[in-house]
Amino acid sequence: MTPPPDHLAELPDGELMARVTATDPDAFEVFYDRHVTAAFALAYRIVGSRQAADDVCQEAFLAVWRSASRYDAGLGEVRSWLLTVVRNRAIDHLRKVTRNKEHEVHDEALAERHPAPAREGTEHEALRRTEAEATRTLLERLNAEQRRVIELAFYSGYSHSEIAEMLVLPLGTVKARINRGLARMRTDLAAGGTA
Amino acid sequence: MSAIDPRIAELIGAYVLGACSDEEAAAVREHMARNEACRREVESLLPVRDALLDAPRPAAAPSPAMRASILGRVREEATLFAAATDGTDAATPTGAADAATPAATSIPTPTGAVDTATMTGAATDPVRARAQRLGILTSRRALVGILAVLVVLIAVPIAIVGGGDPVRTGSPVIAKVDPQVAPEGTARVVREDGALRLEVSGMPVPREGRRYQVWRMVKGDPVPTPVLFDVDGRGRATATLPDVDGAEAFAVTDEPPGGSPAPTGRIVLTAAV
Repeated sequence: MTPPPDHLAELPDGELMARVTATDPDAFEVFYDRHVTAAFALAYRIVGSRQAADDVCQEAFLAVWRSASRYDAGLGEVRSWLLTVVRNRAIDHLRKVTRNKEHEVHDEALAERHPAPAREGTEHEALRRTEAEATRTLLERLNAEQRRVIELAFYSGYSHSEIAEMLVLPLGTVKARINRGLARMRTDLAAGGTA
Repeated sequence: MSAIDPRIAELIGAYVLGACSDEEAAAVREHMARNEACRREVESLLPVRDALLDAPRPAAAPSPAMRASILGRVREEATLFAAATDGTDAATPTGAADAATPAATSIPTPTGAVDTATMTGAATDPVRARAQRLGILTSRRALVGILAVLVVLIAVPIAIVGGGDPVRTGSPVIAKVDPQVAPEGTARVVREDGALRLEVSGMPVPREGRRYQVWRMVKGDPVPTPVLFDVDGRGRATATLPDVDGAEAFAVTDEPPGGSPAPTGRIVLTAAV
């Protein structure tokens, strides 16, 4: 397979997406290589196994390829759009396949929830790694109750009602913990992530 | 600016995380549409949601096989798409304008508006045009064309090299397996006790909710058969085929569990008979 032209690697995501919309496979290849690590990390964080994460990423990237023209730059960054697709697909996968043994399936991922950063070759990836670290820090700054309900909602796909039932808490308590946790994260994020 | 309805305010965090019920999410969206404070509150939390999408990197890495599979599929579809649309929609604009197509929803919701893998009736013309063009790759007509080409590619060499009708003479027919789907895959058709049997090995397990379905190719047109099969852990399966009945080849695609009246999945193998 011939590698994509070098100049594509210099394009920002928005311009790459315009080319992907025009069904340019070279542009898609650059897009894939640029974001697959983050997509895989998120999928793996949710589904907890490499094979399932691969499957989720495959579905998500092909979905993006086939519906690139639905991306609306006014609604956010391309990367957020892709990762939201990944997250939704991963949650779907979790609900279909591993709902009954969610905790077992997550063992592998839980063990690697806060891995030490590995060496990466590019500045771009290093930046992304820093962002992932910042996310970890944001979550760690929450109290355990807030962190737990946010993780159950966002990474395990439970509704607030399900979380309330699971943790034997009043629904209002779960809602309040989510709201307070997110507000805390918002404040920390505005202050630079690690304030 | 009016205050946020307290009943909605307590739902906002769960809404941003995608943890509301459909009814609750609809209520939040409805409130956002008419309440500026509510809209701002949701928007202010979107960077938090984006931060949560940045998961720490695991020790495991995406497999090279996935990369090859995705990019192979994309290049295949791009090629087919270019061929399928050549001369049919030359006037259809593509490119940068499409990427800026406005969507119906102004705030990306955690589970809905931003996961737009499924085309909807709300699509604008360029969107619909692209969807149509890519959709053609999985349409019956396009698959007929692809299948017909594969049949020619397979049947002609067999006729030249093998001569005669190997299935009728009892010799197995080696089927053509898509190497991108199953690099190690093999398949053949054998006649035993008057019945045709498809034997496969090294085939991938179809994705969840899919099974393999056999198609009879008659004059280049796929005719559904009731033959559905699954493969074991080694990708092996044996399926009794229907009579040739005028078909020049059999083809196999992955389809919903009950089969499909028209091909919707990728062609994984073809066997000229």
